[in-house]
Amino acid sequence: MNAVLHDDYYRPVQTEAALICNILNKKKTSDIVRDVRTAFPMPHWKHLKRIKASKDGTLSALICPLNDSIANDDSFIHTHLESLAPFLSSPSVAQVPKENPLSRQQYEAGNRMWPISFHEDKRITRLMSNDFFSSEELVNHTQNMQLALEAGKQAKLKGEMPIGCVIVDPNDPNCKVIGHDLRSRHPLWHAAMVAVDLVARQQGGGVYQYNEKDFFVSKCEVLSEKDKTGPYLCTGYDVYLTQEPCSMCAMALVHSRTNRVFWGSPSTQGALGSRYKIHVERSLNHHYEVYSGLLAHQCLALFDKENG
Amino acid sequence: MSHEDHLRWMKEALRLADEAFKVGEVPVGCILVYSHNGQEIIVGQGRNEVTETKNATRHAEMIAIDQAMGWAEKNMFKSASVLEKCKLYVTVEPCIMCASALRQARISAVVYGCANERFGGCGSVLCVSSDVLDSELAPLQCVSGILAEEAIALLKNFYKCENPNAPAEKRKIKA
Repeated sequence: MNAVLHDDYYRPVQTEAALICNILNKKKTSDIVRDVRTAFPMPHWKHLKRIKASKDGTLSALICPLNDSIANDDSFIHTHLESLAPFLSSPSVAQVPKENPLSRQQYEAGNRMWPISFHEDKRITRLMSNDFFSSEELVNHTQNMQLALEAGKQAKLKGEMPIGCVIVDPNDPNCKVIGHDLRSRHPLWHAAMVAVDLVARQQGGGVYQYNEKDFFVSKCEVLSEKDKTGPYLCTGYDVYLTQEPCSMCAMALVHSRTNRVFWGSPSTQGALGSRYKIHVERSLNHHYEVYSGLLAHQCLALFDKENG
Repeated sequence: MSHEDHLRWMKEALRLADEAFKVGEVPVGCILVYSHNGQEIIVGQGRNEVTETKNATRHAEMIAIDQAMGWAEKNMFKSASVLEKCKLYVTVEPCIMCASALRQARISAVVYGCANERFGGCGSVLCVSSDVLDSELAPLQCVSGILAEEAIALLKNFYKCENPNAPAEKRKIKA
């Protein structure tokens, strides 16, 4: 299972050219840093440190981004850093990481080029290292996906697309719906759409017409209209889908205020990792977490012709 | 189709949006117009019904599609053959979900009023209406800007009413 994050976290480190000088007298390092900071502030390069210590003991100072006027001006350092110029070597060009690192991987790769600062988001690091669920939680997620797999098998037996969906309240595991794809009856009754309507039904709403025996809807305590703490759509709920949802279904889960989505096998048109990443679209008003590849092989096997 | 036709149908959609406004739903309305033997027939219409159905996917467009399918069944047509000859008139750019739904239901074209900067699926946020997908789905033809100001005015009014900073006695009860 993998967490599906915004592309920004996986992006390779981009570089830009910068002007650097070796420091010839290390005792002057702090003076140099102070004066360079004053003479060449770098508001767009806040993540870059000013001094790099090489393995051989050489210290280099980052002066400023390289641009044409600087590159063609030999007296540049003398003009701007008058008194400290004798303690600096003639400038050279180095490649430095352009962006503030978002992930530990980007930090480590960037830091090898030039020292950078990194305000680590521990949650992101955990998600990217695939070390985010306890074994107890993993058992729970696996069991829920197995229920979705069973529903997918039912769909297959009925000649429907073999995709199942479970929606559950993690704080009340008895509050659960199980449904499957019905797109042969209606082009938009994909598994997730059916399950979202089952949740609506559980809360006293719902509109889809189908055979009651097809699906499972637990009896959750439906709180009174006046009680604001009652369930609202899929707020706080977890969704288990045997296949990555399409853009319609992924957006339906945004509108439904879903908490987390776990999907099994990828889809080329999938909107939670493959074709789009709707759950991290910045303009949207709600975002949920996405985990891919839970019981991926079994979920994919639902589509095998001989298996069923 | 002429601009006059667009205006005529869009006024119908606006009327439905106004109806939604009056019952406290987000004021978006739409109609589905089916071209059949040179005639144009309204086979579906909808307004937002999220609150009353407790289903966040019950946007105007989804309801109109369901109605068109019901109309097809009643008149002994195949729903797929009706939907592919339908144009949707909707007051606001369809959201990502609806744009994807319209395309998967094989609606031929959508004519809308104002853009939907936060959710729009016809270019504002994503372009699911025309992005190349791996199946044989044709792109959804889009026309925008028909009676946009009227659609915006309704939305502004709606969100103004729900302003949480409004004095308590003027605040609308949000379901």
